Amino acid sequence: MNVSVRGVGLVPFGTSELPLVELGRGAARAALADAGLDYADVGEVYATSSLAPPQHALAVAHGLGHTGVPVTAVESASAGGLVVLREAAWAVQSGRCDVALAIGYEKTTALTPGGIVPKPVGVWDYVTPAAPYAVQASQWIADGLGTVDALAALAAKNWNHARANPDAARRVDHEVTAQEVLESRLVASPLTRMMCHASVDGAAAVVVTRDDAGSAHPRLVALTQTSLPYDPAWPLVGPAIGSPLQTARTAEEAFRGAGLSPADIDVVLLHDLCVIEEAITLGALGLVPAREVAAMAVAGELARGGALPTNTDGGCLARGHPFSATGLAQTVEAVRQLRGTAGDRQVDDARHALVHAAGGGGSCAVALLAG
Amino acid sequence: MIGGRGRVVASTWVPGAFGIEGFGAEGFGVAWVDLEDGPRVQVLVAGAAPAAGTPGAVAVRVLEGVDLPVFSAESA
Repeated sequence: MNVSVRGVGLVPFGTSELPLVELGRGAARAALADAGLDYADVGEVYATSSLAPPQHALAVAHGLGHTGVPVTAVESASAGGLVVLREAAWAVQSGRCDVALAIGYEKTTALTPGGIVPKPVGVWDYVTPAAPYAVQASQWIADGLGTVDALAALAAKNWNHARANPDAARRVDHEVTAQEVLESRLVASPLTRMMCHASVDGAAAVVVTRDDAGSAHPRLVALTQTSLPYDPAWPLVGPAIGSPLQTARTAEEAFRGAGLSPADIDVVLLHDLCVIEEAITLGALGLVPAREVAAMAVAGELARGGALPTNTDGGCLARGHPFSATGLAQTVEAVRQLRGTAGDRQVDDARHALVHAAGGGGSCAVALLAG
Repeated sequence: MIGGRGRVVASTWVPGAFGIEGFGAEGFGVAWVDLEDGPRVQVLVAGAAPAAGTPGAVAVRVLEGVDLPVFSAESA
């Protein structure tokens, strides 16, 4: 794959009074302005939301213009953002159009705080989504891969990254310590509130174009998507995500497709509904040996300025997690890092970025971008 | 519908009330259990979260029309 990421934009995450479709339009307009293009230039639109009512994608697109181009709605839970980016990328890669627009938008603040479904149906809808992550955290600790203090250090890192991100929902006025994370309210042992995602409203959008030789824009060099493969060690139920095995396979395919290796990656944006997901996913992606993640977290090696900065925008924990918008918001951050325009969050000499999204029900996507 | 004997792999304790009356009013556990005759499953636990390796049985309780797979530890 060789597609230019020409424009990115988002609506700051938090609690919004705007209607859902206006959130989507706002992000799309920001991405088009960033690309220096008009909506009339767009050949196809892909839009995603997990909680939106029917016809939402057409409503968003028609608010941008009545150009008659194909508009496709996608639902893939928290992986939706990268899934629509993949569709948009293939629309231009295949020659179907020259410019495609991917939009993700969600309002989750009306849900029970920390919840992910509007109305319980099955048994697991009655249980905080943090619970299966807490089981994984207990297993991770019991297996000797790390401690709760290491998880707290990892979470504190994301909260402190968000302090430098004006678009993040959870921005505090002081340096967050691991101790503060540990002392926040217990959600599901050993995970505390500051180790779990922020329920927010938000939207993000990305404009992709066919890559022209000599283009100065960051390029999308791989974007792979999978559903959960057979994995008897993974009790997928309710709205939970897929397994580390799935993550590993998705990433391996992306690296193979791009001709890159994990050692090439300079900055990582990964899905962290709870902090343990970041710890386990770093290993599954092949970026850090599983037994070294905890030590790197405690030593600050996963923070900006460290060996492998992760979730420089604050991640789901502190940037916030508006489900379907998350993968595109991560891509916005990756592009800003590759452009060198990430401000106080800038990673030195960032040339390759990895974006990982995981969606409830067992959807996973991994994107690789080059500056 | 899942059920049968098995061993706890890992577990957590959720301090909030479960959303259905008749179970976990003062908190509840969630565990992964390897069934003797089946795959690894995620189940609810009444009472304290069991330690890894705890043997027991999974049975389904129906409350308010919802199937609850619940693990009970074997008594010593």
